[in-house]
Amino acid sequence: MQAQPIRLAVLGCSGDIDAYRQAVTRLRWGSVAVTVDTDRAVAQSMADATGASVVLDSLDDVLTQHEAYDAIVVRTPLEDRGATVCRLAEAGKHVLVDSPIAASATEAEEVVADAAKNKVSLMVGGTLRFLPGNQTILSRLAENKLGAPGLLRVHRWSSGGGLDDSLLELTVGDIDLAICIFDGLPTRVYAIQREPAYLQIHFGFADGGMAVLDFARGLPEGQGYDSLHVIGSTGAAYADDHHNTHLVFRGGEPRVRISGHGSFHVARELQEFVDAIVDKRPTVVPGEGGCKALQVIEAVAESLKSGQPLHREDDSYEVSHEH
Amino acid sequence: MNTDIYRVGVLSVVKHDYLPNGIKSHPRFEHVVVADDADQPDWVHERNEKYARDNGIPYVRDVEKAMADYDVQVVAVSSQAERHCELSVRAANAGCHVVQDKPMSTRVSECDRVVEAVERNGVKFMMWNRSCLPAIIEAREALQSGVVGEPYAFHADFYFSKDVGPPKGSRKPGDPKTDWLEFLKAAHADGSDGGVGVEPLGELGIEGCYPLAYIARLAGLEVRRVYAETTAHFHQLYDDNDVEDLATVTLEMEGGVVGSFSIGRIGAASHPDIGEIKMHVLGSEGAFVVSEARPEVGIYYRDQPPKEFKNERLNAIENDYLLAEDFARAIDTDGDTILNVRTSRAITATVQAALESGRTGRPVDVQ
Repeated sequence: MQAQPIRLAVLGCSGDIDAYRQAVTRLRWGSVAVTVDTDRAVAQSMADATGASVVLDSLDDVLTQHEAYDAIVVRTPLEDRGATVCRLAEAGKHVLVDSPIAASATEAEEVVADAAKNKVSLMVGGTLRFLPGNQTILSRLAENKLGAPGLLRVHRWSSGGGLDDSLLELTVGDIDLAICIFDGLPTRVYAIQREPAYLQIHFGFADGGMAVLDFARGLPEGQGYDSLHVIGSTGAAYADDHHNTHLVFRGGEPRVRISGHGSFHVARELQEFVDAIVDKRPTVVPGEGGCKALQVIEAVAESLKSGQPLHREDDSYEVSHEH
Repeated sequence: MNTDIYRVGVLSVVKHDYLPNGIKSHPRFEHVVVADDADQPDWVHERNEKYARDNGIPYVRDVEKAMADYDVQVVAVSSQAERHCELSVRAANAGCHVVQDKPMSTRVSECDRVVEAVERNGVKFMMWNRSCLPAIIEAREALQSGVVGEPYAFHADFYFSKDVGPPKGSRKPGDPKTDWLEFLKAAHADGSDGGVGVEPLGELGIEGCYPLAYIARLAGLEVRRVYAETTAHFHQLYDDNDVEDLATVTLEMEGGVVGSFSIGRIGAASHPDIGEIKMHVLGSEGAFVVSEARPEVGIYYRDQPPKEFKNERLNAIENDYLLAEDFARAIDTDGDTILNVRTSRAITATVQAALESGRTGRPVDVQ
């Protein structure tokens, strides 16, 4: 174990400030030393929450002050995320970058190659893998309690309007989870969309596994609904908001409150990043996983465009035309 | 109020007897005879005879003679799946109304014969279904009340947590494949013989009509195109017979409405009750999630048998009564049944298209 804790920088500080406040108190062998945001007030808020002593407002500044931190969490907008990670990797910094790690599979491959070339750890962040329910399911799968996974069934419903320009960020978490659960990329990809705010993705996997992912963003303003089932050959897991409800009576028909997941997953993710650096081992969500998810998302987009399924052959997806 | 009692002929009762018993649960129906063709194998006759004996009615080895001699008005068809349509056509041609077990058939062309015979003879037809379970009724009422606005997506999960013989991968090298008919005949003892017949039937083929009937009942729309993944994931029986015990189906319906269903015979260990059976519906103004099993009561006690469901449904038996009630109303009023012959045919066509999609890896138009 190294003598000094890993000093983290957080680049992109809007959102999750409370989650970070709680995470840093739980973090072993890590601390937040630097916060960075183009909105300096937001960076200061994150610093206040995490105890960071250095507050910056640009990527150039954080590259200049590279001695103030050992590793960095990148939470910047998608359009410049890949390029940002490359610059940080070239500066020798370990990077935990929000998923999707780049705007395209090609760019993601460049990011991963840059990280490897510079011998820094690259971890995909913001995935669904560290959510408590998913952690439970993944651990039971790893323990072979559920047998070979056969079916992943997901419903993700939220408010928030349409699907325009949000395909990547809407789907990447569950696609990454599907790849993780089935330990490989889907060999068949079919998707349908219904304007303005509905998307359904259907996967087939080489060993006969299958997944249906259902995304809707048209709920009225308010809390959303999540449901995830994994059916294995010897057992099944059901992580479903429907099972986790409380009732509220205030006259008329009762209302429902859904228990949330809390924010412990942020701490778990940061801890994994820090532990991987300290232990000099690969992270459980390496950058290569980010590339795979993007390959699949691009197949989804192509299926939506063509109205046809895509089949994976020779490491790439091709539209399956009529025989 | 019409109080006429309809005379029911049970045409073959080779599998679980829930269908004729369900009809019998209603006081407007009276079983008068069990009948089947003389050339059926002994095991069929034995089961028919037992049902007749248990119900104190005669068993006749001649279908047409039984319908004529006993003045049968309604038939309950619960034969091997591949014989369903043939028996229904003959009953319709004899002027009898038909309640037929699921699946309607393994072939759409057979369904077309039933559609033609039912419509030409002006008789009523209903395929057995679960759409009168309280949760489904409430879901339909909620939709009709407009609580979610205009519905645009319907999803059904339909998992039966039952075992069907040894798990996949358990057959030793050199051992013969499991014979479908012989296995299903033996499964009669525990009532898991819904697919009994010469032709192997996967879970889509046997049970796919249930979630599709839910969607038909709630959406009232035709399925235009499907994409499916199918596999034998759990049971050696299904793998040996090249049929699926797990499937997912994407549905594209008329009017741009979409949906999906997943179905599996997932094994007894995989759910504390009969299985996770749910509907998810999205609409322009909201959404709802319905568990088909509710209302239910949790029952737990020392030395509880491991296979006993720990949550017991309430009012499930109401499904039988309400289906029979609906059928009586349809006859009385010359109205439509809750799952009529054309919708049943459309469900079979959807299942067949899904099976083709699963085989080819391509979307398939429903014919």
